[in-house]
Parts: sequence; structure tokens; C-alpha cells
Amino acid sequence: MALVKRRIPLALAFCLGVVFAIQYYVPHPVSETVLTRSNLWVIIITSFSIVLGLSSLLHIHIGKMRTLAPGWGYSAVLVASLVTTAALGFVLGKDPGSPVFWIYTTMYVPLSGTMFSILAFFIASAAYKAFRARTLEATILLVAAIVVMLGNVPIGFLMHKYIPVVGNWIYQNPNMAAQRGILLGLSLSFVATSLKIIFGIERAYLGGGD
Amino acid sequence: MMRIVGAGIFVLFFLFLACGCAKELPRERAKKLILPGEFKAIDAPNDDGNAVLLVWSVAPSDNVRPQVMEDVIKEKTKPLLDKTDEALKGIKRVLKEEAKSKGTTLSSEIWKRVEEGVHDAVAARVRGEVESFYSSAPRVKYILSMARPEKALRDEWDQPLPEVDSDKSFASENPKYFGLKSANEMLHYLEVVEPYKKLKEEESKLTKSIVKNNTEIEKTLAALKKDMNRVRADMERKKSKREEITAQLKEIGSIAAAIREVSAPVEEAIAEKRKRLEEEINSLTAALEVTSREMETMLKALISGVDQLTARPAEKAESFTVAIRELAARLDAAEKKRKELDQKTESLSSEKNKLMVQTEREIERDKKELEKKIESLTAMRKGLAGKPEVLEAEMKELGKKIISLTTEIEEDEKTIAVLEKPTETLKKMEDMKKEVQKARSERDQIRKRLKDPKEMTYYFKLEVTDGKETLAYPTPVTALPVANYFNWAKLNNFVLTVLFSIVVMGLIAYAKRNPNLFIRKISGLDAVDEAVGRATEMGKHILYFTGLLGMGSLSTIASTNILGRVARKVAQHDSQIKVPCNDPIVMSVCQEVVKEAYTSVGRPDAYRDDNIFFVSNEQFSFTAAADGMMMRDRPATNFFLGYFYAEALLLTEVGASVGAIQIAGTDALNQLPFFVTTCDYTLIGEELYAASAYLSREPVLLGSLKGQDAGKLFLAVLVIVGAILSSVGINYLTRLLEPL
Amino acid sequence: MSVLTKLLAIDRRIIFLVIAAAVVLSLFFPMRLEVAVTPPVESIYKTIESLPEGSVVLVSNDYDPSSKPELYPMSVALFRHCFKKNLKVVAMTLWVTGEGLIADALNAALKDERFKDKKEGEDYVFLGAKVGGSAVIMGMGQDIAGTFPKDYKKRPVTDLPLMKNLKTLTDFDYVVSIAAGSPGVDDWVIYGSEYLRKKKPKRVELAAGCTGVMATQYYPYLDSGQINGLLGGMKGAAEYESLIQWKDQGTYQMDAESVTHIIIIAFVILGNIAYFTIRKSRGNVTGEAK
Repeated sequence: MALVKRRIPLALAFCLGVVFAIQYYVPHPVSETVLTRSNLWVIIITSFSIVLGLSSLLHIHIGKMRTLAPGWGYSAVLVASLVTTAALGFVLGKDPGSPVFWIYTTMYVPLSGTMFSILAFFIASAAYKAFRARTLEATILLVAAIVVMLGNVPIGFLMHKYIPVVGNWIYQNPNMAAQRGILLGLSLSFVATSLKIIFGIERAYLGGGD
Repeated sequence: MMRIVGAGIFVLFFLFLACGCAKELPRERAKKLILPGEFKAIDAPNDDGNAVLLVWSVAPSDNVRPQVMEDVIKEKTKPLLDKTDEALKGIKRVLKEEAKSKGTTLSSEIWKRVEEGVHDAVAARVRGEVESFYSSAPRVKYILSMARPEKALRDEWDQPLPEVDSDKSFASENPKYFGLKSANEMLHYLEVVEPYKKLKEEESKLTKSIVKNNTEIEKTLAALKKDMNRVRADMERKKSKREEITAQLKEIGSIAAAIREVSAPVEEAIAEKRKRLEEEINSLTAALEVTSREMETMLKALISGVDQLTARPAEKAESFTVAIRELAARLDAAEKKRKELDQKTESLSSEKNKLMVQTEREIERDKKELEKKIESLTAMRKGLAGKPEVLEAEMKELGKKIISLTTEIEEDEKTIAVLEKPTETLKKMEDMKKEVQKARSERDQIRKRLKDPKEMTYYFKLEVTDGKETLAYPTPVTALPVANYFNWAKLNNFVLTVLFSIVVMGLIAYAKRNPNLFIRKISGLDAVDEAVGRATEMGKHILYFTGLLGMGSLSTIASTNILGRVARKVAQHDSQIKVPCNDPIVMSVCQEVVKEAYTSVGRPDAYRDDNIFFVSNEQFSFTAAADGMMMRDRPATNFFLGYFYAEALLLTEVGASVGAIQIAGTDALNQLPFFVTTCDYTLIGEELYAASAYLSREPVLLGSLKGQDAGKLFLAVLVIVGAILSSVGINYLTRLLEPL
Repeated sequence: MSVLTKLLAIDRRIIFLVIAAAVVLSLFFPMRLEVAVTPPVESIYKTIESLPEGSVVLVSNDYDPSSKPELYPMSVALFRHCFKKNLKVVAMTLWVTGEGLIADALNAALKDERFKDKKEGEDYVFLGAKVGGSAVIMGMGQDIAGTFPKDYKKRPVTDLPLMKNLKTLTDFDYVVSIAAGSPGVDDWVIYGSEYLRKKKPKRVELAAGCTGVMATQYYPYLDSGQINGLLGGMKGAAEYESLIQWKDQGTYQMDAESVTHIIIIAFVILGNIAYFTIRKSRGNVTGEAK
């Protein structure tokens, strides 16, 4: 079992990691072909993961319905919606004018937008709570936040023509510098973690700890 | 004094920086057409052998570039605008005085518009003049052509390349890169991709035709085979059908024969009985007739006797009396006879009836017996009435079918014979095979040519024209496209990667020997114990989120690592941990991790599979479900470790509202502010990746962390030194990290 | 003082109500304020303006309906600008759930009378959605027809006149990634740039559009030249609409954003006033919103 669960995946990770690390530096047509074929494999496998998700989802919700667990009604609604939309899609297609497109535009689009829009309220209450000028750094943050917020809206431009200019300067200088610093650190972590995965030092992705 | 000296040095420093920045700008092109100084063709570097670069230097007769024109316009416009401003100032003064004398004011809004209008007019005028000056010059273009060596030697340049406008050049900071001697920084450039495109197209066409013909041949063969198989199968089917029908026929025949065998004697017996019955009836009827005739005769005789007697009254009475006595005696005898005959008739009739009834009963019984026998015989022949006539009709039908099937089978045999030797189709296939062979040999020749360097060398010619005159570069140039095995433009990237990997591996090896490496305090990770303890005290569970990305993301891998440590602590404290997942693969991994954690502390019984579950892979569906869980279950502690998107604030705000202690860690830079404001502890960026090393203190992980720190130190030094050098105009370090 | 204490400990639902009222009122009473254009947005505009007629622009719209308010106006404005300049447009998406939305955006842009002669397959193509993220981008760098064998309407891509000369990413003249997350701008910068850089003498430029929240993290790319322009959130869309002089949802929705920002700033200032006043009077008070 250790051979299948540990050794083979580790060997695969090592071999493929080294191959594709080398592939990046080799422009030869053979190398390009390897990359092209592998990309097709990745696209196909990623598409199959949808099937995995679907089966897991159905397993959980049908299980809930069968045992009449709390919230089973919502599970029933979910399963019914899934089956209806999938059936309509397979039979009648998803082009504009089809029932699936109608479901998409009248239900999915507004629901997604609504959930995202709740953020506005939460941001307001979080900002109200967080922006207290308790320390010098907090005060600088507060002032910068106000300038940037005003610079992002036409009212700021109306108040003074330099507010958007200062806001943009804050974006392009202190903000950019801090983001770049974090990005550099993250990128190095990516490389180090990738090396650890290739060489089998990092094994969390196999499950079951180290 | 010192301040003045300092200021002077500062000014000198900026002057020093400023000098050397002005460039010589070409103002006009040479009036006479001039060829470029150098023209080269080189294999495109760092590619898959697909391209050749044609590079030539800028000639004095080239049209001015748009960028140069813009610079000239700016240069010419500025002094004019300054002079205009001076003039406008004077005008403004006069207008102000005039307005003041009239008791009014000059509107600044209007004056501003006047100024802008004048500036725009001046700039437009200058632009117009400069553009018309430069555009009045004839358009100079470069015409390039390509040819195979044999054609180039005959001056047959049969493959034209795209024309290049002379005002489209680019600045090469390293002309030596292209092997050009000239120090001229401007170059013209054309990349010829796949110069052997025609050959390749031919090869591809031939391959397609080979494939097509082969496919056609295979299809034809397959179709032939299919037809033959079909006909054979049909024939076999018909043969077996015929056999079946023959067997049916035999069966029916045997049944009919059996029926006949059974029926004949019975029917004979029935016929015999009927015949006997008829004979009996006939004889009885005849006897009855005889009797009736006798009776009639007697009656007739009696009647004639009475007539005689009555007809002769005067005759002797004695003789009459004797005659009457005779007659009476005869009447008596006739009466007796008649009674006898009546009795006989009655008995004959009853006998006849009895016989009829009996015979009919026997016949009936025989018939029933016969029917039963026939039924049993024809039991296998369903739907049949069982009558031999019906069976015979069916047999006739079956016989006809057998005949038609035999005819069809004979036809099929003829068809098969034809298919086995399809002369026309075979001829067609032979032709196709010949075509395929021919195409293959042609293609092989082309492939041979494509591999032969001598064959793949192309010649290039350069001409320059201004519409009236055309000049050609004296000698054509050659180049051979070659696939490179290493992309030298990425050499710096490769070296840095290898160096970094060596440093990381080296530090890992070092950490194995010296395990007590220092890591600075990360408060968020120190608080994990406190958070778990709090949950245990409150008797509530812990909610753990691994983010919205899959197992392919490094942040999710780091999160599952931390989950293992947290789950171990939870198991030790006998608390509960719930992990809602938005990816089924992540869910499987998390289940394994938590199970392993519980097992490692000796509490496999406390592990519950249901605590790690899949919710939805839709961002906001997952968020809505998670928020609902938090509002209903009110967990004591929330962990948000991984990559989050817009749902971060939605989750943390709700978590804060239920009073949970919240520890977050993400490399999603844009979500960090939301986590910082709503969570008690936040791991920023790579602190998430460092967490597994921090919590476990494993030498291997600590060593890699140190390696990352070494890399960061290197980059920090590079940034500082590079910034200083760039400020004084030395950009070498900046270019070190760009693609070469 | 009790007012200030109450203000510090204000119920968050009151904040929600005020925000909601402000947004609704601003939609009923629009202000139509002018938007100031910033250099990152202007850069994209200038690049498209400088492209000659017939140039091909690839627009990768990687978002779903949740980001529609911010990114949909960007897509529509970009399409309109390209059509106005008689540029060819190839649209695609790496997010399956956004496919219908992008088709909608193209149709919205094409509704205008001026574009009625634009033909699908010749002037614009919608390749549809493809799952795979960076693998799709790398695939396009090698062979577009291999990665997208059929377009949104299931027609073979090789049969479309516009796609006949577009074999790889280097055949485009400009690439814009409008994204709400991953896969998105980061993938185009990391993987797409490798191929875009191969075009000589000048590489194919890449621009980005994203939600307001994500805009800050792409400034390093803008500064280093990895992207040549950035459309940040609804404001970016409004700025672009004002540049192309075609005001639509991006501009109209800015009123609500303006009012919301002002209200948040007002609340923050009030909160700080209350905090400092109470602290001054009581020494050290902590009062938080529920």
C-alpha cells in the first residue's frame, strides 16, 4: 500500500518536476511537444475533476435526504435544481434562448451578484470598527485610506483636483512597494516549496501527514 | 556657509546626472537613396529552429521615425510656447487694466480658455509644419526576398517577404548580439518564421494525401470485407433459415402423417360405421318399402276384391258370400300381415333409430378420440387447427419459402464469388497504393532535404526603394535555422534558480546537523494552543477553512500541513474540529490528515469522517453555507488558512459577530487588510508557508525556511544596490534579471 | 457623552441600513459626476488608439456573475472601443460560469447601429470557455486551434476567416486580461508573457482589468512593465467609458460608489471623533461596534 500511496506518487512528482523544470529552459521542438501534450492532459484531467465534485455533492445531499438530517429540504432543492438544469442543458442545449440560459440569466447571475454585494455592507462595518487612530501607524493608515477612497470616486475630484493624483501616487508608490516586497517573499516561498515537493520533502498533498 | 556648499554639491550632483542624456536626433533624411551599411541573416536564437532573423542597419536615407518626429515637434514647440506666454502675459496685463478702468474684472475662466486655445493653436501649427515637412519626403521601403540556393544563383527570387517601412526601426542596445560591426544603435529587423514553409507545406500535403489514400484503401478493403461478411452472414442466415424451415416441414409432414395414420383408421371406422349404418338403414328402408309394397299390394287386392264383389251384385249370392268370406279371411290375413308388418316396421324403425344413435355415439366417440390424438400430435405446432388440410397448406407455404431461399442462397454465392475477385475495385486500390508509394518517396526526399543543412540554407536579398529608384544590396546573405537546446535568454533565470536550490538544499543539510535554528516569533501560531484550549473550555468546536483553491495550490498544501498540527492538538484536548471544504480532492486529503493526526495521539475512536465534508465548489454558495454554520453552531475558534477571495470578509465578519477567536493566514495580498481588521491574529504572506516549520520545528523544514530567508536577503541587497546604481545611470544590475 | 458612546457601539445593522438607503437614493437621483482619468487606464486607451485598422485584440474575460457589476462594463467598453477603431476582437474566458456573460457583453457592444455590419467569424470571434487555467494559456502559446478546436457556437475554429492567420499568441497585436481571480491576470503575466515576448521586434503588450479590491496587487506588474495598463474596478470602467466618450453602466454606477465612500468616510470620522472625545474625557475607553 505504501508503494501505491507514497513511493509511486513521490517518484512521479520527482520525475515530472525535474522534466518540466528542464523543459522551461529548452526551446527544442521535442520539448515544446512535450509541453503541448501535457497541457492537453491537464485540461482533460481538470475537466474530469468536475465529475468528482458532482459525485461528491450528490453523495452528501442524497445521504442527507435519505436520513432526513436537519436541512434535508435544502438538499432536496439542491438535487432537484441540479438534475433539472443538467437535464435541460443536455436535451435543449445552453445557447441564448434556451431554458438553461434563462436559468443562468434570471437566477444564477442575480444570486451571485447579490452575494458579492453583501460585501459592501460588511466592508462598511469593518471599516468603521477598524479605522481608529489609536497609534501613529493607524493614523497614517486612516489618512491614506481616506485619500485613496476619495481619489477613487468623482466626488474626490470635485473636492480637489489633486486628490485623485495623490491617491494614484499612494497606489503606485508605497502600496506598490509593499505589495512587491510581499510578492518577492511569496515567490521565493513558491520556489522553495516547489523544490520541497519535487524532492519529496513536502508530502502533505499525499494526505496522512508527513 | 556649509549649507551653501552643501546646496552647491547637491546642484552639481544633479547636473552630473543630467549631462550625457541628450541625444543626437536626425533632423532630415539624406536626399539620395543610400543602402544600409550592413545586412545580415542569422538563425533566431533560443528558439525551436523555426526562424531566421534578418537584421540591417539604419541608412541615412531612411524616413524619420515617428518618435523622432514627436521629439522634434516638442523641441520646436517649447520655445514658441514660451514666447507666446510672454506675449499673452503682456496682453493679459493690458486687458486687466482696461477692465479695471471700466470697473469690471477679467474673468479668469475665460482667460484660461483663451490661453489654452492659443497654446493648442501654436502646437497644432508646429505639428502640422513638421509633419508636412517629413511626409513630403518620398516613402522609403525595404524589399526583402528569399530563395533556395539554386534559384538564388540564377537570380530567381521567388519567395517575397513582407515589406518593411524605413521609419520602423528599433533600438538594439547590443548590436553585437546580432554580429553587426556597426555601433549604430538603430536597426531594422525582420523575423522570417519557417523559411522552409513551402517545403513543410508540401510535406504536410503529401502526408495528408498519404494518410487520405491509406485511409481510402483501408476503407475500401474494410467495406469489401464488410460486404463479403455481410453477404456471407446473410447467406449463412438464409441457409440456417432454410434448414429450419426444412426441419419444420419435416416436422409438419411427420405430424400430418401421424395425424393421417391416426385419423385414417378412425375415419375408416367412422366411414365403415356410417356405411354399415347406411346399409342397415337402406336395408331397413328397403324392408320397410317391401313391407309397404306388400301392404299396398294386399290393400290393392282387397280393394279390387271388394270392387269386384260390389261390381257383381246379381251373381250368385253364395259364391258372393264365399267370395266375401274369402275376402274377409284374406282381410284378416292381410290385417295380421299388416300388424306384423307394422310391428316389423316399428321394430325396424326403432332398430334404425337405435342404430343411428348408437352409431352416431360411436362416431362421436371416435371423433373425440381422434381429435385428442391429433391435439397431442400437433401440440408442438401452435396455432394450428390440427387439421391435416391446414397442415398441408402450411407445408406448401414452407415449401415455397424453401425454394425462394434456395434461389437467394444461390444468388448470394454468386455475389460472394464476385466480391472475392472485385477486379475494378482492386484496380482502383492498386492505383491508390502506387500513388501512396510515390507520395511517400517524395515526402522522404523532402524530409531528407529538411534535415540536410546544405538543403535548408536559404538565401536572402535586400533592396531599398523610394518609388522612383531601387538599390539592391550587393551580396545576398544566407542563414540556416537550427533548433536550440538551451534558451540562453533564460540563463540568468537558470543560474539564479540553481543557486537558490543549492542554498536551500545546503541549509536543509545544515539544519539536519544543527537542529536549533532561530525563527522569530509568529504570534498567530503561538495562539493556536490558546485557541484550541478555549474551544475545549467552552465545549464548542473549531472551524477550519483551507481556502478556495485546490490541492495544486501551495497555500492549500501549507494549510493542510497546519491542519495536521491543529488536529493533533484538538485530539489531545478532546475537542472537535470541523473542516468544510470546497474541493472534493482537498476534502479527501483533509480527511486523511485529520485521521492520521487523531491516530498519532492514540485517539482513532474520536475521529469522525462527517466532520470533514464537502459543501460546494461555488464561491458564494460555500460562503453562505459557512456563514450559516457559524451563526447556528457558534464555534469557539475559526481558522482561515489558505487562499481566499472576496468571501474573506464575509466569513470573518460573521465569525467576529458570533464571538469566535479568529486566526487567519493567507497569501492573497488583497484580502490581507480584511483579515487584519476582523481577525485576532493574521499570518501575512509567507508566514503561512513558514507555519509548518514553526509548529513542527523539523530541521528539514527549518532549513528550507532559512534558505528562503537567504534568498530574500540576496534580493534585498540587489534592490538597494541596483537602485543606487540606476540613480547614477548604471543599469547593468537592472538588466541582469531581465530576459537576456 | 452617551450619544458618543452609543455612536462608538453602534449596531452594525444601522450602518447597513444607511449604506443601503444611500445606494438606492443615488440610483433614483443620479448625479452624473465627471470621472478623472488616471494614467494606467489612459495607457490602455492610447495603446488601442495606436493600433492600425485590422489589428487583432485578444480579450480574456475571466470572471463570473458575482463580479459582473465591476468587470462587465469594462468588457463592453473595451469591445466598443475596438469596434469603433475597426479592430478585430477575439474573446475568450477561462471561467466556465462566465461564458454566457461574455456572450452577453459582446452582444451588448454590438447592439449599436454603427456596428451592425460587424460579422461574426470575420470581425469578431468568441472562443467560449475552456477549463485549465495556465494550461490553456500555454496551449494557446503553442497552438490556438488545438486548444480551442471549436468556438462558442461549436463551429471549427479553423473554418473562421479571422482565425485562419491566428496560430499562436504572437499573432495577436494586443492582449487584455479582465479577471476577478484565478485563473486570471497572474496566469497571463506568468505564463502568457513567455509567449507574448517571443514576437519580434516588439513583444505583444499585455494589459489587465480587475476588481477594485484586486487592483492594488497588480501595481508591481504595472511598474515593471509586465502589464502596460490597468483598469481597476468600476472606476476603471468609468474612466475608460469617459475616454471613449460612451457613458454606460460603469459611469452610472459610480454615483452609488461615490455616495457609499462618502458615507463610510463620514462614519469613520465620526467614530474617531467619538473615540477621541471619550478617551479624552475618560482616559482610556474602548467601545466597539457590535
